[in-house]
Amino acid sequence: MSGVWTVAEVSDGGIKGISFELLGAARSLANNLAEPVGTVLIGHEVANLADELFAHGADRVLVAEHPALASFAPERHARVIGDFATAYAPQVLLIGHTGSGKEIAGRLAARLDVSVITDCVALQLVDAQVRCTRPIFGGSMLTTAVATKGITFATIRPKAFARPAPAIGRPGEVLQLAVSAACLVARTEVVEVVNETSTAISLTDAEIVCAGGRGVGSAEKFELIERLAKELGAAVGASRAVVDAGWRPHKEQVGQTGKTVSPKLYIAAGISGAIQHLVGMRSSDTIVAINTDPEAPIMKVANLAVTADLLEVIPKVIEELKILKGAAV
Amino acid sequence: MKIVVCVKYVPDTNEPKRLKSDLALQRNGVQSVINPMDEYALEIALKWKDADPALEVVTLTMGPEEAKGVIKKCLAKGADRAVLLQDPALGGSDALSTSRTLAAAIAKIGKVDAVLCGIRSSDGDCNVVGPAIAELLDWPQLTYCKEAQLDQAARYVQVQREADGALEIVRAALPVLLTVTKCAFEPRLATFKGITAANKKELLVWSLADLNLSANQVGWEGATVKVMSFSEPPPRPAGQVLSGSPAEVARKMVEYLHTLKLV
Repeated sequence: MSGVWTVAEVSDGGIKGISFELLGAARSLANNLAEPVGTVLIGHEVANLADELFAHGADRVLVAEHPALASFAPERHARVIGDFATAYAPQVLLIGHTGSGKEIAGRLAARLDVSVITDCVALQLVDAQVRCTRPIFGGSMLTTAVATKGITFATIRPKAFARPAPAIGRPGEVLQLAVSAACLVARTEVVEVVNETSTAISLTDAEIVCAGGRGVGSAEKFELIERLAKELGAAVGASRAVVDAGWRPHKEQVGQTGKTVSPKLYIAAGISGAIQHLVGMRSSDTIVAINTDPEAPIMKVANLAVTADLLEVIPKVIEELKILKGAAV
Repeated sequence: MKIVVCVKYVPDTNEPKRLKSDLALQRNGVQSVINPMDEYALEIALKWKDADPALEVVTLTMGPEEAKGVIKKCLAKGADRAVLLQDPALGGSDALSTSRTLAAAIAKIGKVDAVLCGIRSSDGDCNVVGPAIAELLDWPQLTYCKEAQLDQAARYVQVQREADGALEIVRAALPVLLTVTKCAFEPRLATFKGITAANKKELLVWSLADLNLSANQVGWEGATVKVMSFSEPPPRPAGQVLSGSPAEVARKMVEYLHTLKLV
Protein backbone atom coordinates (compact mmCIF):
# COMPACT_ATOMS: atom_id res chain seq x y z
CA MET A 1 0.00 0.00 0.00
CA SER A 2 1.33 3.37 -0.87
CA GLY A 3 0.38 6.94 -1.43
CA VAL A 4 -2.24 9.31 -0.13
CA TRP A 5 -4.93 9.64 -2.78
CA THR A 6 -7.87 11.94 -3.29
CA VAL A 7 -10.73 11.87 -5.78
CA ALA A 8 -11.37 15.17 -7.57
CA GLU A 9 -14.91 16.37 -8.20
CA VAL A 10 -15.58 17.88 -11.59
CA SER A 11 -18.61 19.83 -12.72
CA ASP A 12 -19.29 21.94 -15.77
CA GLY A 13 -15.76 21.34 -17.01
CA GLY A 14 -14.13 22.73 -13.87
CA ILE A 15 -12.72 21.34 -10.65
CA LYS A 16 -14.94 21.83 -7.58
CA GLY A 17 -13.55 23.51 -4.48
CA ILE A 18 -13.78 20.39 -2.31
CA SER A 19 -11.09 18.79 -4.52
CA PHE A 20 -8.56 21.40 -3.36
CA GLU A 21 -9.62 21.03 0.28
CA LEU A 22 -8.97 17.28 -0.08
CA LEU A 23 -5.49 18.09 -1.36
CA GLY A 24 -4.95 20.32 1.69
CA ALA A 25 -5.91 17.40 3.95
CA ALA A 26 -3.82 14.91 1.95
CA ARG A 27 -0.69 17.05 1.69
CA SER A 28 0.10 17.27 5.40
CA LEU A 29 -0.58 13.55 5.91
CA ALA A 30 1.59 12.66 2.92
CA ASN A 31 4.45 14.84 4.12
CA ASN A 32 4.42 13.09 7.49
CA LEU A 33 4.21 9.66 5.85
CA ALA A 34 6.86 10.57 3.25
CA GLU A 35 4.44 9.40 0.56
CA PRO A 36 3.31 11.15 -2.61
CA VAL A 37 -0.14 12.67 -3.08
CA GLY A 38 -2.19 11.37 -5.98
CA THR A 39 -5.54 12.49 -7.33
CA VAL A 40 -7.99 10.44 -9.35
CA LEU A 41 -9.59 12.63 -12.02
CA ILE A 42 -12.66 11.12 -13.67
CA GLY A 43 -14.62 12.57 -16.59
CA HIS A 44 -14.63 13.24 -20.29
CA GLU A 45 -11.75 15.31 -21.69
CA VAL A 46 -10.57 16.36 -18.25
CA ALA A 47 -6.81 15.76 -18.53
CA ASN A 48 -6.26 19.50 -19.08
CA LEU A 49 -7.41 20.08 -15.47
CA ALA A 50 -4.41 18.19 -14.04
CA ASP A 51 -2.18 21.29 -13.81
CA GLU A 52 -4.60 22.92 -11.41
CA LEU A 53 -4.41 19.84 -9.17
CA PHE A 54 -0.59 19.87 -9.31
CA ALA A 55 -0.63 23.55 -8.35
CA HIS A 56 -2.67 22.68 -5.26
CA GLY A 57 -0.41 19.87 -4.07
CA ALA A 58 -0.99 16.72 -6.15
CA ASP A 59 2.19 14.93 -7.23
CA ARG A 60 0.39 12.55 -9.57
CA VAL A 61 -2.91 12.77 -11.36
CA LEU A 62 -4.51 9.57 -12.56
CA VAL A 63 -6.86 10.38 -15.41
CA ALA A 64 -9.82 8.10 -16.20
CA GLU A 65 -11.59 9.44 -19.25
CA HIS A 66 -14.60 8.21 -21.20
CA PRO A 67 -17.55 9.97 -22.83
CA ALA A 68 -19.86 7.95 -20.55
CA LEU A 69 -18.15 9.52 -17.53
CA ALA A 70 -18.98 13.08 -18.62
CA SER A 71 -21.63 13.37 -15.94
CA PHE A 72 -21.54 11.92 -12.45
CA ALA A 73 -23.00 8.41 -12.16
CA PRO A 74 -22.43 6.78 -8.76
CA GLU A 75 -22.18 3.19 -9.96
CA ARG A 76 -19.72 4.00 -12.74
CA HIS A 77 -17.60 6.31 -10.63
CA ALA A 78 -17.46 3.78 -7.78
CA ARG A 79 -16.33 1.08 -10.21
CA VAL A 80 -13.62 3.27 -11.73
CA ILE A 81 -12.31 4.20 -8.27
CA GLY A 82 -12.51 0.53 -7.27
CA ASP A 83 -10.37 -0.40 -10.29
CA PHE A 84 -7.90 2.33 -9.37
CA ALA A 85 -7.64 1.00 -5.80
CA THR A 86 -6.97 -2.53 -7.05
CA ALA A 87 -4.20 -1.28 -9.35
CA TYR A 88 -2.56 1.26 -7.02
CA ALA A 89 -3.33 -0.03 -3.49
CA PRO A 90 -3.53 3.39 -1.84
CA GLN A 91 -2.63 3.70 1.82
CA VAL A 92 -5.10 6.54 2.34
CA LEU A 93 -8.08 7.45 0.14
CA LEU A 94 -9.98 10.69 0.72
CA ILE A 95 -13.19 11.75 -0.99
CA GLY A 96 -15.55 14.65 -0.27
CA HIS A 97 -18.46 14.24 2.14
CA THR A 98 -20.54 15.95 -0.52
CA GLY A 99 -23.76 15.08 -2.32
CA SER A 100 -21.93 12.95 -4.86
CA GLY A 101 -19.24 11.72 -2.46
CA LYS A 102 -21.90 10.29 -0.16
CA GLU A 103 -23.47 8.47 -3.11
CA ILE A 104 -20.28 6.58 -3.87
CA ALA A 105 -18.77 6.16 -0.38
CA GLY A 106 -20.99 3.20 0.53
CA ARG A 107 -20.62 1.46 -2.82
CA LEU A 108 -16.89 1.96 -2.73
CA ALA A 109 -16.59 0.63 0.83
CA ALA A 110 -18.36 -2.53 -0.31
CA ARG A 111 -16.04 -2.84 -3.34
CA LEU A 112 -12.89 -2.23 -1.30
CA ASP A 113 -14.17 -4.47 1.50
CA VAL A 114 -13.21 -1.89 4.12
CA SER A 115 -15.54 0.45 5.95
CA VAL A 116 -15.40 4.19 5.53
CA ILE A 117 -14.88 6.85 8.18
CA THR A 118 -17.30 9.58 7.17
CA ASP A 119 -17.55 13.34 7.55
CA CYS A 120 -14.05 13.81 8.96
CA VAL A 121 -13.10 17.24 10.27
CA ALA A 122 -9.53 16.43 11.37
CA LEU A 123 -6.86 13.88 10.42
CA GLN A 124 -3.82 13.22 12.54
CA LEU A 125 -0.93 10.82 12.04
CA VAL A 126 -0.04 9.04 15.30
CA ASP A 127 2.18 5.92 15.41
CA ALA A 128 1.81 5.47 11.64
CA GLN A 129 -1.97 5.38 12.04
CA VAL A 130 -4.30 7.98 10.57
CA ARG A 131 -6.64 9.11 13.32
CA CYS A 132 -9.84 10.49 11.85
CA THR A 133 -12.07 12.75 13.92
CA ARG A 134 -15.72 13.17 13.07
CA PRO A 135 -18.78 14.67 14.70
CA ILE A 136 -21.65 12.38 15.73
CA PHE A 137 -25.10 13.00 17.19
CA GLY A 138 -25.32 16.18 15.16
CA GLY A 139 -22.01 17.50 16.46
CA SER A 140 -22.84 17.13 20.14
CA MET A 141 -19.88 14.73 20.36
CA LEU A 142 -16.69 14.02 18.45
CA THR A 143 -15.29 10.57 17.88
CA THR A 144 -11.85 9.54 16.73
CA ALA A 145 -11.50 6.34 14.72
CA VAL A 146 -8.81 4.44 12.83
CA ALA A 147 -8.89 1.90 10.05
CA THR A 148 -7.62 -1.43 11.31
CA LYS A 149 -7.41 -3.40 8.08
CA GLY A 150 -5.79 -2.13 4.92
CA ILE A 151 -6.61 1.22 3.43
CA THR A 152 -7.76 4.22 5.46
CA PHE A 153 -10.82 5.32 3.53
CA ALA A 154 -12.44 8.56 4.69
CA THR A 155 -14.88 11.19 3.50
CA ILE A 156 -13.96 14.79 4.36
CA ARG A 157 -16.45 17.43 5.48
CA PRO A 158 -16.51 20.42 3.10
CA LYS A 159 -14.89 23.55 4.58
CA ALA A 160 -13.14 21.57 7.34
CA PHE A 161 -9.73 21.79 5.64
CA ALA A 162 -8.18 24.88 4.09
CA ARG A 163 -7.59 25.03 0.38
CA PRO A 164 -3.79 25.25 -0.16
CA ALA A 165 -2.40 28.36 -1.85
CA PRO A 166 -1.74 27.38 -5.47
CA ALA A 167 1.85 27.17 -6.76
CA ILE A 168 1.36 27.85 -10.46
CA GLY A 169 3.64 25.71 -12.62
CA ARG A 170 4.32 23.13 -9.89
CA PRO A 171 5.17 19.95 -11.81
CA GLY A 172 3.48 16.59 -11.57
CA GLU A 173 3.05 13.30 -13.34
CA VAL A 174 -0.02 12.46 -15.41
CA LEU A 175 -1.02 8.78 -15.41
CA GLN A 176 -3.84 7.12 -17.31
CA LEU A 177 -6.32 4.58 -16.00
CA ALA A 178 -7.99 2.41 -18.61
CA VAL A 179 -11.76 2.47 -18.15
CA SER A 180 -12.99 -1.11 -18.41
CA ALA A 181 -16.31 -1.99 -20.03
CA ALA A 182 -17.52 -3.27 -16.66
CA CYS A 183 -17.31 0.30 -15.33
CA LEU A 184 -19.83 1.55 -17.85
CA VAL A 185 -22.99 0.00 -16.39
CA ALA A 186 -26.11 2.05 -16.95
CA ARG A 187 -28.93 0.85 -14.76
CA THR A 188 -30.58 4.18 -14.10
CA GLU A 189 -32.03 6.57 -16.64
CA VAL A 190 -32.48 10.32 -16.19
CA VAL A 191 -35.90 11.12 -17.60
CA GLU A 192 -35.86 14.84 -16.99
CA VAL A 193 -33.80 17.48 -15.23
CA VAL A 194 -36.02 20.16 -13.82
CA ASN A 195 -33.44 22.88 -13.63
CA GLU A 196 -34.30 25.44 -11.08
CA THR A 197 -32.03 27.68 -13.22
CA SER A 198 -30.82 29.41 -10.12
CA THR A 199 -27.35 30.86 -10.13
CA ALA A 200 -27.68 30.67 -6.36
CA ILE A 201 -24.65 29.45 -4.44
CA SER A 202 -25.05 25.91 -3.16
CA LEU A 203 -25.76 25.77 0.55
CA THR A 204 -23.06 23.27 1.42
CA ASP A 205 -20.36 25.00 -0.66
CA ALA A 206 -21.05 28.50 0.62
CA GLU A 207 -18.55 30.46 2.73
CA ILE A 208 -21.45 32.45 4.16
CA VAL A 209 -25.01 31.27 4.84
CA CYS A 210 -27.91 33.64 5.59
CA ALA A 211 -30.74 31.64 7.07
CA GLY A 212 -34.21 32.76 8.03
CA GLY A 213 -36.81 31.25 10.29
CA ARG A 214 -40.39 31.82 11.33
CA GLY A 215 -39.42 35.22 12.70
CA VAL A 216 -39.08 36.51 9.13
CA GLY A 217 -42.89 36.61 9.14
CA SER A 218 -43.93 35.45 5.67
CA ALA A 219 -42.76 33.99 2.38
CA GLU A 220 -42.82 37.47 0.83
CA LYS A 221 -40.69 39.01 3.56
CA PHE A 222 -38.04 36.34 2.92
CA GLU A 223 -36.96 38.60 0.08
CA LEU A 224 -35.08 40.53 2.77
CA ILE A 225 -32.99 37.44 3.60
CA GLU A 226 -32.32 36.98 -0.13
CA ARG A 227 -31.17 40.60 -0.44
CA LEU A 228 -28.83 40.24 2.53
CA ALA A 229 -27.48 36.97 1.06
CA LYS A 230 -26.88 38.69 -2.28
CA GLU A 231 -25.05 41.56 -0.61
CA LEU A 232 -22.79 39.08 1.24
CA GLY A 233 -22.36 36.63 -1.65
CA ALA A 234 -24.04 34.08 0.61
CA ALA A 235 -26.32 31.08 0.16
CA VAL A 236 -29.85 31.26 1.56
CA GLY A 237 -30.79 28.80 4.30
CA ALA A 238 -34.05 28.12 6.07
CA SER A 239 -35.35 26.50 9.24
CA ARG A 240 -37.64 23.51 9.17
CA ALA A 241 -40.60 25.67 10.22
CA VAL A 242 -40.45 27.85 7.12
CA VAL A 243 -39.88 24.89 4.80
CA ASP A 244 -42.87 23.09 6.33
CA ALA A 245 -44.91 26.29 5.92
CA GLY A 246 -44.03 26.23 2.22
CA TRP A 247 -42.18 29.58 2.30
CA ARG A 248 -38.94 28.02 1.08
CA PRO A 249 -37.90 24.82 -0.75
CA HIS A 250 -36.50 21.85 1.16
CA LYS A 251 -33.12 22.16 -0.55
CA GLU A 252 -32.54 25.26 1.61
CA GLN A 253 -33.36 23.53 4.89
CA VAL A 254 -30.58 23.37 7.46
CA GLY A 255 -30.77 20.82 10.26
CA GLN A 256 -31.57 17.24 11.07
CA THR A 257 -33.94 16.66 8.16
CA GLY A 258 -32.07 19.09 5.92
CA LYS A 259 -28.44 19.85 5.24
CA THR A 260 -25.44 20.11 7.52
CA VAL A 261 -23.34 23.20 6.85
CA SER A 262 -20.14 24.60 8.31
CA PRO A 263 -19.53 27.94 6.62
CA LYS A 264 -17.17 30.65 7.85
CA LEU A 265 -20.19 32.74 8.77
CA TYR A 266 -23.74 31.62 9.57
CA ILE A 267 -26.35 34.32 10.05
CA ALA A 268 -29.54 33.05 11.70
CA ALA A 269 -32.36 35.56 11.42
CA GLY A 270 -35.60 34.88 13.22
CA ILE A 271 -34.58 31.28 13.99
CA SER A 272 -35.14 30.21 17.59
CA GLY A 273 -32.58 27.39 17.37
CA ALA A 274 -34.29 24.11 18.21
CA ILE A 275 -31.76 21.30 18.69
CA GLN A 276 -32.79 19.86 15.29
CA HIS A 277 -31.62 23.11 13.68
CA LEU A 278 -28.46 23.47 15.77
CA VAL A 279 -27.18 20.03 14.72
CA GLY A 280 -27.06 21.27 11.14
CA MET A 281 -25.04 24.45 11.69
CA ARG A 282 -23.26 24.51 15.01
CA SER A 283 -19.85 23.71 13.54
CA SER A 284 -19.93 27.03 11.62
CA ASP A 285 -16.87 29.18 12.40
CA THR A 286 -18.82 32.29 13.35
CA ILE A 287 -22.51 32.42 14.18
CA VAL A 288 -24.49 35.65 14.23
CA ALA A 289 -28.05 35.40 15.50
CA ILE A 290 -30.68 38.10 15.12
CA ASN A 291 -33.70 37.50 17.30
CA THR A 292 -36.18 39.53 19.31
CA ASP A 293 -35.94 36.97 22.13
CA PRO A 294 -32.60 37.23 23.94
CA GLU A 295 -33.33 33.87 25.61
CA ALA A 296 -33.78 31.92 22.33
CA PRO A 297 -31.46 28.85 22.20
CA ILE A 298 -29.76 30.17 19.05
CA MET A 299 -28.51 33.18 21.05
CA LYS A 300 -26.57 30.83 23.37
CA VAL A 301 -24.48 29.35 20.57
CA ALA A 302 -24.01 32.65 18.72
CA ASN A 303 -20.70 34.48 18.69
CA LEU A 304 -22.71 37.64 18.19
CA ALA A 305 -26.24 37.67 19.57
CA VAL A 306 -28.21 40.61 18.21
CA THR A 307 -31.38 41.30 20.15
CA ALA A 308 -33.48 43.13 17.61
CA ASP A 309 -36.28 42.90 15.07
CA LEU A 310 -34.68 41.48 11.95
CA LEU A 311 -37.13 43.37 9.73
CA GLU A 312 -35.72 46.65 11.09
CA VAL A 313 -32.07 45.66 11.38
CA ILE A 314 -31.41 43.79 8.12
CA PRO A 315 -32.24 46.76 5.82
CA LYS A 316 -29.76 48.83 7.88
CA VAL A 317 -27.16 46.06 7.67
CA ILE A 318 -27.55 46.01 3.88
CA GLU A 319 -27.04 49.82 3.83
CA GLU A 320 -23.91 49.50 5.99
CA LEU A 321 -22.53 46.77 3.72
CA LYS A 322 -23.09 48.97 0.66
CA ILE A 323 -21.24 51.84 2.38
CA LEU A 324 -18.40 49.48 3.25
CA LYS A 325 -18.17 48.25 -0.33
CA GLY A 326 -18.24 51.82 -1.62
CA ALA A 327 -15.39 52.75 0.72
CA ALA A 328 -13.34 49.79 -0.50
CA VAL A 329 -13.60 50.83 -4.16
CA MET B 1 -44.45 -7.66 -4.89
CA LYS B 2 -42.29 -7.25 -1.81
CA ILE B 3 -40.74 -4.04 -0.46
CA VAL B 4 -38.25 -3.87 2.41
CA VAL B 5 -37.90 -0.67 4.44
CA CYS B 6 -34.78 -0.40 6.61
CA VAL B 7 -35.70 1.22 9.90
CA LYS B 8 -33.09 2.31 12.41
CA TYR B 9 -33.78 2.67 16.09
CA VAL B 10 -32.07 5.87 17.22
CA PRO B 11 -31.90 7.94 20.40
CA ASP B 12 -34.19 10.97 20.26
CA THR B 13 -32.27 14.08 19.17
CA ASN B 14 -33.87 15.96 22.05
CA GLU B 15 -32.21 13.69 24.62
CA PRO B 16 -28.76 14.38 26.05
CA LYS B 17 -26.26 11.72 24.89
CA ARG B 18 -24.28 9.66 27.40
CA LEU B 19 -21.75 6.93 26.85
CA LYS B 20 -20.94 3.89 28.92
CA SER B 21 -17.39 2.95 29.89
CA ASP B 22 -17.05 0.66 26.82
CA LEU B 23 -17.80 3.66 24.56
CA ALA B 24 -21.18 2.23 23.62
CA LEU B 25 -24.20 4.45 23.83
CA GLN B 26 -26.03 4.59 27.15
CA ARG B 27 -29.51 3.59 26.06
CA ASN B 28 -31.10 2.94 29.44
CA GLY B 29 -33.63 5.62 30.21
CA VAL B 30 -33.00 7.38 26.90
CA GLN B 31 -36.09 7.91 24.76
CA SER B 32 -35.55 6.26 21.37
CA VAL B 33 -37.45 6.79 18.15
CA ILE B 34 -37.63 5.77 14.48
CA ASN B 35 -34.81 7.47 12.60
CA PRO B 36 -36.60 10.56 11.15
CA MET B 37 -35.51 9.95 7.53
CA ASP B 38 -36.64 6.31 7.74
CA GLU B 39 -40.15 7.56 8.54
CA TYR B 40 -40.27 9.09 5.08
CA ALA B 41 -38.94 5.89 3.49
CA LEU B 42 -41.70 3.92 5.24
CA GLU B 43 -44.30 6.49 4.15
CA ILE B 44 -43.34 6.05 0.48
CA ALA B 45 -43.71 2.27 0.80
CA LEU B 46 -47.06 2.66 2.57
CA LYS B 47 -48.31 5.00 -0.18
CA TRP B 48 -47.46 2.27 -2.67
CA LYS B 49 -49.39 -0.15 -0.49
CA ASP B 50 -52.36 2.25 -0.34
CA ALA B 51 -52.51 1.97 -4.13
CA ASP B 52 -52.17 -1.82 -4.05
CA PRO B 53 -53.03 -3.53 -0.75
CA ALA B 54 -51.54 -6.79 -2.09
CA LEU B 55 -48.09 -5.24 -1.94
CA GLU B 56 -46.10 -6.63 0.99
CA VAL B 57 -44.14 -4.16 3.12
CA VAL B 58 -41.52 -5.64 5.45
CA THR B 59 -39.50 -3.53 7.87
CA LEU B 60 -35.94 -4.53 8.69
CA THR B 61 -34.13 -3.37 11.81
CA MET B 62 -30.83 -4.28 13.38
CA GLY B 63 -30.97 -3.37 17.04
CA PRO B 64 -31.61 -4.30 20.65
CA GLU B 65 -34.71 -5.88 22.15
CA GLU B 66 -36.03 -2.40 23.02
CA ALA B 67 -36.28 -1.61 19.31
CA LYS B 68 -39.46 -3.71 19.26
CA GLY B 69 -41.44 -0.70 20.48
CA VAL B 70 -40.40 1.34 17.45
CA ILE B 71 -40.96 -1.62 15.11
CA LYS B 72 -44.52 -2.06 16.44
CA LYS B 73 -45.19 1.57 15.50
CA CYS B 74 -44.19 0.74 11.91
CA LEU B 75 -46.54 -2.25 11.93
CA ALA B 76 -49.30 -0.07 13.39
CA LYS B 77 -48.83 2.40 10.53
CA GLY B 78 -49.38 -0.38 8.02
CA ALA B 79 -46.26 -2.49 7.43
CA ASP B 80 -47.19 -6.16 7.02
CA ARG B 81 -44.41 -7.75 8.98
CA ALA B 82 -41.09 -6.98 10.56
CA VAL B 83 -37.68 -8.54 10.96
CA LEU B 84 -35.42 -7.65 13.88
CA LEU B 85 -31.78 -8.69 13.67
CA GLN B 86 -30.57 -9.24 17.17
CA ASP B 87 -27.40 -10.97 18.25
CA PRO B 88 -24.63 -10.03 20.69
CA ALA B 89 -22.22 -10.85 17.83
CA LEU B 90 -23.60 -7.87 15.89
CA GLY B 91 -22.44 -5.36 18.53
CA GLY B 92 -19.63 -3.06 17.40
CA SER B 93 -20.50 -3.26 13.71
CA ASP B 94 -19.17 -0.46 11.52
CA ALA B 95 -21.00 1.01 8.53
CA LEU B 96 -19.86 -1.74 6.15
CA SER B 97 -20.52 -4.69 8.45
CA THR B 98 -23.94 -3.20 9.25
CA SER B 99 -24.64 -3.00 5.50
CA ARG B 100 -23.41 -6.56 5.06
CA THR B 101 -25.75 -7.79 7.80
CA LEU B 102 -28.74 -5.94 6.34
CA ALA B 103 -27.94 -7.16 2.81
CA ALA B 104 -27.76 -10.76 4.07
CA ALA B 105 -31.15 -10.32 5.75
CA ILE B 106 -32.66 -8.89 2.55
CA ALA B 107 -31.33 -11.94 0.69
CA LYS B 108 -32.91 -14.21 3.30
CA ILE B 109 -36.26 -12.38 3.18
CA GLY B 110 -36.05 -13.26 -0.51
CA LYS B 111 -37.75 -12.09 -3.71
CA VAL B 112 -37.46 -8.45 -2.66
CA ASP B 113 -38.29 -5.98 -5.44
CA ALA B 114 -37.18 -2.75 -3.80
CA VAL B 115 -35.43 -1.60 -0.63
CA LEU B 116 -36.07 1.83 0.85
CA CYS B 117 -33.74 3.47 3.38
CA GLY B 118 -33.58 6.91 4.94
CA ILE B 119 -30.71 8.85 3.41
CA ARG B 120 -28.96 9.00 6.78
CA SER B 121 -29.41 8.27 10.46
CA SER B 122 -29.68 11.02 13.02
CA ASP B 123 -27.12 9.34 15.32
CA GLY B 124 -24.23 7.87 13.32
CA ASP B 125 -24.99 10.03 10.28
CA CYS B 126 -22.67 8.07 7.95
CA ASN B 127 -24.82 8.39 4.81
CA VAL B 128 -23.37 5.16 3.40
CA VAL B 129 -25.48 2.19 4.44
CA GLY B 130 -28.05 2.48 1.62
CA PRO B 131 -25.54 2.63 -1.27
CA ALA B 132 -23.38 -0.06 0.42
CA ILE B 133 -26.39 -2.43 0.57
CA ALA B 134 -27.07 -1.68 -3.12
CA GLU B 135 -23.49 -2.56 -4.03
CA LEU B 136 -23.52 -5.75 -1.94
CA LEU B 137 -26.76 -6.85 -3.63
CA ASP B 138 -25.42 -5.64 -7.00
CA TRP B 139 -28.46 -3.41 -7.48
CA PRO B 140 -28.72 0.13 -8.87
CA GLN B 141 -29.50 2.96 -6.47
CA LEU B 142 -31.69 6.03 -6.61
CA THR B 143 -30.63 8.51 -3.93
CA TYR B 144 -32.04 11.67 -2.32
CA CYS B 145 -35.58 10.69 -3.35
CA LYS B 146 -38.41 13.04 -2.39
CA GLU B 147 -41.12 11.12 -4.15
CA ALA B 148 -41.27 7.76 -5.89
CA GLN B 149 -43.76 5.97 -8.10
CA LEU B 150 -43.79 2.21 -8.45
CA ASP B 151 -44.95 0.72 -11.76
CA GLN B 152 -45.57 -2.92 -10.93
CA ALA B 153 -46.62 -3.92 -14.45
CA ALA B 154 -43.55 -2.45 -16.15
CA ARG B 155 -41.38 -3.32 -13.13
CA TYR B 156 -39.66 -0.01 -12.57
CA VAL B 157 -39.51 2.83 -10.07
CA GLN B 158 -39.44 6.47 -11.09
CA VAL B 159 -38.34 9.05 -8.53
CA GLN B 160 -38.05 12.77 -8.03
CA ARG B 161 -34.64 13.34 -6.52
CA GLU B 162 -32.95 16.38 -5.07
CA ALA B 163 -29.69 16.57 -7.02
CA ASP B 164 -27.20 19.40 -6.53
CA GLY B 165 -29.08 22.51 -7.61
CA ALA B 166 -31.71 20.73 -9.67
CA LEU B 167 -34.62 18.36 -9.33
CA GLU B 168 -34.12 15.21 -11.38
CA ILE B 169 -36.62 12.64 -12.51
CA VAL B 170 -34.84 9.31 -12.74
CA ARG B 171 -35.99 5.72 -13.21
CA ALA B 172 -34.53 2.28 -12.75
CA ALA B 173 -35.79 -1.23 -13.34
CA LEU B 174 -36.48 -3.44 -10.32
CA PRO B 175 -34.86 -4.54 -8.13
CA VAL B 176 -33.58 -1.19 -6.92
CA LEU B 177 -32.55 0.51 -3.69
CA LEU B 178 -33.86 3.97 -2.84
CA THR B 179 -32.51 6.37 -0.27
CA VAL B 180 -35.13 8.84 0.84
CA THR B 181 -34.73 12.39 2.07
CA LYS B 182 -37.38 14.58 3.65
CA CYS B 183 -40.49 14.51 1.51
CA ALA B 184 -43.08 17.17 0.81
CA PHE B 185 -45.62 15.12 2.78
CA GLU B 186 -45.61 14.19 6.44
CA PRO B 187 -45.48 10.51 7.49
CA ARG B 188 -48.83 9.20 8.63
CA LEU B 189 -49.67 8.50 12.26
CA ALA B 190 -50.80 5.11 13.47
CA THR B 191 -54.54 4.75 13.92
CA PHE B 192 -56.12 3.03 16.91
CA LYS B 193 -57.21 0.22 14.60
CA GLY B 194 -53.65 -0.04 13.28
CA ILE B 195 -52.24 -0.29 16.79
CA THR B 196 -54.60 -3.16 17.60
CA ALA B 197 -53.78 -4.90 14.33
CA ALA B 198 -50.02 -4.53 14.93
CA ASN B 199 -50.15 -6.93 17.86
CA LYS B 200 -51.27 -9.72 15.54
CA LYS B 201 -48.59 -9.07 12.91
CA GLU B 202 -45.44 -11.13 12.56
CA LEU B 203 -42.28 -9.76 14.19
CA LEU B 204 -39.48 -12.17 13.38
CA VAL B 205 -36.28 -12.08 15.41
CA TRP B 206 -33.26 -13.42 13.58
CA SER B 207 -29.83 -14.06 15.01
CA LEU B 208 -26.55 -14.36 13.15
CA ALA B 209 -27.19 -18.09 12.73
CA ASP B 210 -30.21 -17.23 10.56
CA LEU B 211 -28.07 -15.27 8.12
CA ASN B 212 -25.58 -16.57 5.62
CA LEU B 213 -22.69 -14.80 7.36
CA SER B 214 -19.86 -15.85 9.60
CA ALA B 215 -19.00 -14.19 12.91
CA ASN B 216 -15.80 -12.66 11.51
CA GLN B 217 -17.80 -10.66 8.94
CA VAL B 218 -19.89 -8.77 11.49
CA GLY B 219 -19.72 -6.98 14.83
CA TRP B 220 -16.44 -6.13 16.53
CA GLU B 221 -14.66 -8.90 14.64
CA GLY B 222 -15.83 -7.85 11.19
CA ALA B 223 -15.33 -4.12 11.74
CA THR B 224 -12.43 -2.51 9.88
CA VAL B 225 -12.93 0.80 11.65
CA LYS B 226 -12.18 1.03 15.34
CA VAL B 227 -13.40 3.91 17.47
CA MET B 228 -10.60 4.98 19.79
CA SER B 229 -12.13 7.79 21.77
CA PHE B 230 -15.01 10.16 22.20
CA SER B 231 -14.76 13.75 23.22
CA GLU B 232 -16.92 16.75 23.75
CA PRO B 233 -16.51 19.35 21.03
CA PRO B 234 -14.62 22.41 22.24
CA PRO B 235 -17.15 24.78 23.81
CA ARG B 236 -18.07 27.76 21.68
CA PRO B 237 -16.60 30.95 23.11
CA ALA B 238 -19.06 33.07 25.07
CA GLY B 239 -20.76 35.37 22.62
CA GLN B 240 -21.12 39.11 22.55
CA VAL B 241 -24.56 40.59 22.95
CA LEU B 242 -25.76 43.56 20.94
CA SER B 243 -28.85 45.66 21.44
CA GLY B 244 -29.91 49.20 20.74
CA SER B 245 -31.48 51.11 17.87
CA PRO B 246 -31.63 49.24 14.54
CA ALA B 247 -29.13 51.64 12.91
CA GLU B 248 -26.68 51.34 15.79
CA VAL B 249 -26.99 47.55 16.00
CA ALA B 250 -26.53 47.21 12.24
CA ARG B 251 -23.41 49.39 12.27
CA LYS B 252 -21.88 47.39 15.14
CA MET B 253 -22.75 44.08 13.50
CA VAL B 254 -21.08 45.03 10.21
CA GLU B 255 -18.07 46.37 12.15
CA TYR B 256 -17.83 43.03 13.95
CA LEU B 257 -17.94 41.09 10.67
CA HIS B 258 -15.42 43.45 9.10
CA THR B 259 -12.99 43.00 12.02
CA LEU B 260 -13.18 39.23 11.48
CA LYS B 261 -12.57 39.81 7.74
CA LEU B 262 -15.89 38.14 6.97
CA VAL B 263 -17.09 41.14 4.96
